[in-house]
Amino acid sequence: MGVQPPIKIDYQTCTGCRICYNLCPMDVFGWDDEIDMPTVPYPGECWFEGVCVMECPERSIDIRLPLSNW
Amino acid sequence: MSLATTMDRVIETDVLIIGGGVAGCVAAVKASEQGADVTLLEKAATKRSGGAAAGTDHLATIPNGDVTAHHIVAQVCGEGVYPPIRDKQGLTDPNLFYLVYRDARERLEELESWGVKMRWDDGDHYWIPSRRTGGMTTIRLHGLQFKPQLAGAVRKRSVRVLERTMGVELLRDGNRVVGATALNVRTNQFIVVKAKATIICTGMAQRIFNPEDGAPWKFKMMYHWCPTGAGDAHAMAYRAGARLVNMEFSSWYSRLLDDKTIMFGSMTDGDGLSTRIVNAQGEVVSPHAFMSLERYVEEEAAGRTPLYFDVPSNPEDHWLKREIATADERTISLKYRKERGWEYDTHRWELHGTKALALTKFMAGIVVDETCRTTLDGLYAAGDCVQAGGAMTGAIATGFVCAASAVEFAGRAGDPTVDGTQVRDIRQQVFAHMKVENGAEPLEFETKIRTTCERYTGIFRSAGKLQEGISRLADVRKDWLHRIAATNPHELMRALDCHNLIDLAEIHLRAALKREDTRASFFRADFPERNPEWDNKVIFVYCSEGELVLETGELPRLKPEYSRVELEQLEV
Repeated sequence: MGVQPPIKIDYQTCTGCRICYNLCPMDVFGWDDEIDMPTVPYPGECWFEGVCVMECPERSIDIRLPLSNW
Repeated sequence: MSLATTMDRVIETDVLIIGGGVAGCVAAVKASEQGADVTLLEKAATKRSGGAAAGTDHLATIPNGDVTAHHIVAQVCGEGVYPPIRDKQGLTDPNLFYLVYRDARERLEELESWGVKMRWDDGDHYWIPSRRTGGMTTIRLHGLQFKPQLAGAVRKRSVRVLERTMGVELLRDGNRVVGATALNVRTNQFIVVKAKATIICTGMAQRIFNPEDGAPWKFKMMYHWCPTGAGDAHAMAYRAGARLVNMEFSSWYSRLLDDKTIMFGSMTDGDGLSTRIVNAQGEVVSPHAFMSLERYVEEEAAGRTPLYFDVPSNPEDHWLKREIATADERTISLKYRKERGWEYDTHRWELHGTKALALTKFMAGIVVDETCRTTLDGLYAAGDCVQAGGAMTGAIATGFVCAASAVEFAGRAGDPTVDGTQVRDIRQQVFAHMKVENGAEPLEFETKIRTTCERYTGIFRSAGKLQEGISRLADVRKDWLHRIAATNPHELMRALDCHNLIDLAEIHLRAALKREDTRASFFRADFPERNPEWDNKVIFVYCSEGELVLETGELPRLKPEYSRVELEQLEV
């Protein structure tokens, strides 16, 4: 549905462990206190180095290669 | 009013370290081991920050076998470590390079004793050949956990680690640096750190240029080196009055066009094999993975581009070695590759270049002596932001050196005195960005800096273009720097980045205008030949009472005690 930025969180499997929010070198993640889950307020600042994907224990984060590299 | 009542937090420490990448973590461990009270500020999270954030697949340039530190210094300070940056005679200080490489082996062993794993399953280092040194001087690592292990070593010591905290300004008392102001980029907590000695190590200065894929706005941080820093250390040191050198040099490298996230090293040197480069007609342009800028321009002008890595010329098992190397550094690349349907052994990996990516590694940076001391008392620098601190080997070595120097200074220096007025002025300037109405987004400002540098000092420069660029930078500084708006701590971090970026851009352009010369990675279209008047001359830049000062001078030659016959023959 609609536009999907390169970083995608699967809220069905995400447990809200905060690892992505705590480790992202570029601070692209935010935290939604109401649902106690990560958000992605700054996808445009992604370095595409993949720390969030690598460290997510539930494999709930996906990064697609942006079009500029297609 | 005392600082404690006006600031959110005041910390007193022996050694303050700004930047928690490889150099900063090494320095923190060593300074702590020597009994100092250590405070480490990290803009992101030490476990996964800096150049090794997503792993590392090799450690380069370690003396081994017949290749001694002397050989390496001769190469790095003479011919140049990367072919695109040749002829560096007189542009680097060989003494610090010598000290970096002389003790490299012992330092790696010490890191291993901290729990940083560098050996393969058989218990040995896996040495691979380096085309740069001609010997077996690169260690291949399964280094995916390198940074977590190094950050773990910091955690085991009694180091005060402030994650998500960036250094804002260094604090001065006369000619001595006495700590820094800092900002928590998640909470806006404003912190004053009073330190007997301060180490700065925030990596490369690259964000004054567009990233490698040229994306100017959306997905705009695709840089080769960690873009968390905005040249913070360079800019803070400059504003505090420390000297920088070679800031006119920017680098061009040949890069993979298809996927910048598959690290250049992994693709070509991952197992010591340097894939040759061919042009669109299949003719060999370079027998290895590097080429000069002139050669690239020649091929482009003759209509023979794109250039490619000649993958079919590699041995059959090379694709597997490359895949393993990719699993050791930026594993995400395996996914990108799969999604695009690229096969390591058959895909035509395109190379491109012709734009500047960063200020030149191993050359541009904060001036330090052999003890990693800057030109200010109590201020030390390490890692990519100093000449010999480049890459992992340099970051580790300068981390060791600056820790010893800073602890020694802290032991004999008196307690620091911080000027409360200076601190309150900085705080006011920082938080002014939170009150701006009808302002610009920080990244809109950053984009302006980048496009200005791309257009007016990309690679081929001239006096006219540089003057125009300087004038435009002055306009954007006057009209917009104070109108950058931040609505939350993250945006305030990016607004402060802009202060660093515009200073670095101005330094870069003004130094480039002064050097009427073409050499190493520096090209002036209006002075296209090497100008002998600039032989052995460098440009120092510093800030004096708010004004940028450029001075020509010379860097030290290799000291006789570090010299040997073979070096003298090489005339370093």
